[in-house]
Amino acid sequence: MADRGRSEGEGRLRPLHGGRHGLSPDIVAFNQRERLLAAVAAVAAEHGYNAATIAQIAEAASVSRRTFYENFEGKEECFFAAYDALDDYLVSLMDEAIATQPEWADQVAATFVALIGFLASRPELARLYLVEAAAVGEPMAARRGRTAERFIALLEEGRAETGGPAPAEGIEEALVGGAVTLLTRRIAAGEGEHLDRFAPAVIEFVLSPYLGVDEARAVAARHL
Amino acid sequence: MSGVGEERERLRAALRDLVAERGLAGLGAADLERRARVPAGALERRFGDLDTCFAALWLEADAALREPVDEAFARPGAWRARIRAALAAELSFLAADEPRARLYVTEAVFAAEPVRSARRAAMRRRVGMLDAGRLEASDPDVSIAIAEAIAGATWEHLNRAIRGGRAADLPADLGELTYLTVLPYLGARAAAAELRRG
Repeated sequence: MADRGRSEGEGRLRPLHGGRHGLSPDIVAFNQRERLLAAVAAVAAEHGYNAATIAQIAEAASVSRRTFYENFEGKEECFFAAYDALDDYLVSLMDEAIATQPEWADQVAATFVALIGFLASRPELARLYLVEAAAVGEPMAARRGRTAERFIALLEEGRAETGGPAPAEGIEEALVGGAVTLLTRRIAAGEGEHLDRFAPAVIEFVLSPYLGVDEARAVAARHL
Repeated sequence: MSGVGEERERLRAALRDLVAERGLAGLGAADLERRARVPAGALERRFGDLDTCFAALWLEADAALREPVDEAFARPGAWRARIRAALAAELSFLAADEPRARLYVTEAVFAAEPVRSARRAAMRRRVGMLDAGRLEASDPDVSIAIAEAIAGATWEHLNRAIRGGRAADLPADLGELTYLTVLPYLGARAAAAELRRG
């Protein structure tokens, strides 16, 4: 999800100069696709996914409607591509965070700090990922489910790692749902830029069933 | 019942059935009118549109749920017992009518206004009940964000259970949900006791 070419202040992307710019057709096409992905996030953040139109997305990307349709069949496909690109990036952040920490609880904390920090730095992407993706409905459910499964698997490792009293069976799904709800509510309330303020609560909440409240809070404090 | 009232009822019943069978997303006025066996245009005449018809059903369910939950939570006693009673009331309500549970929990996410606003209000009420746990917590500085996370976790649990066709079994999850709810406020021992209690 590059933001190359983003113009200052307007939320629109500068058009590529026409004529002899020396760029190969492949590079131009790649650039146009990237711009459309950034544009669908911006337009969905401003108007909501359901109200967003292809004309708005094309305009925000400074490409023609024809170029839009050369890249995507419709709004939904464009949105899915943007979600997938962002999801891939967040997976890479998650992997990096886990690799830096030897202990499970610190891996969980570092993961949430990295992801929430990134989303706080890009509120329009946070909105696309958490708020607008939910508004797409059933077609998005499988993608969102796959995202949740990664976090569920990470939390489930805590059962073997901590050796404490076993949390309720299947609690991981609820914990991930709780974390997502907290962040989604805050983004929807216009607090996306300050999302990192809620990282301690998220970490404390998801770790408490495994470590107890005091230890979970101490882990959160170590990472902030 | 007048012809107008009968058409309204037919449309409401048809929407309730269709939402349970196919979900709200993708339903159209023609689907609804066909199922309700009413003339084309009846939906627009009786409700305006499908969103308004859905809102009537959702708001009715919301009001019906509030009554037993509020009553349970208002009983005298410790927060732990009151929140357990409120959860029990909610689970019984949802288990009693699976199509209504699906409409209220899993399909409302696809609804337009005024359901969106009403859902936010329902979540605020839920968060308020949970946050009252701070008054009995050993550490009263528990963030209100924790209450939001618990509310979301509970909702996610309900959503998954209902989507998985387990609405009727929800009362059996009372211990698990009470565990999740009291843990941040009252600690692991109290939470484990709720889990054992079931």
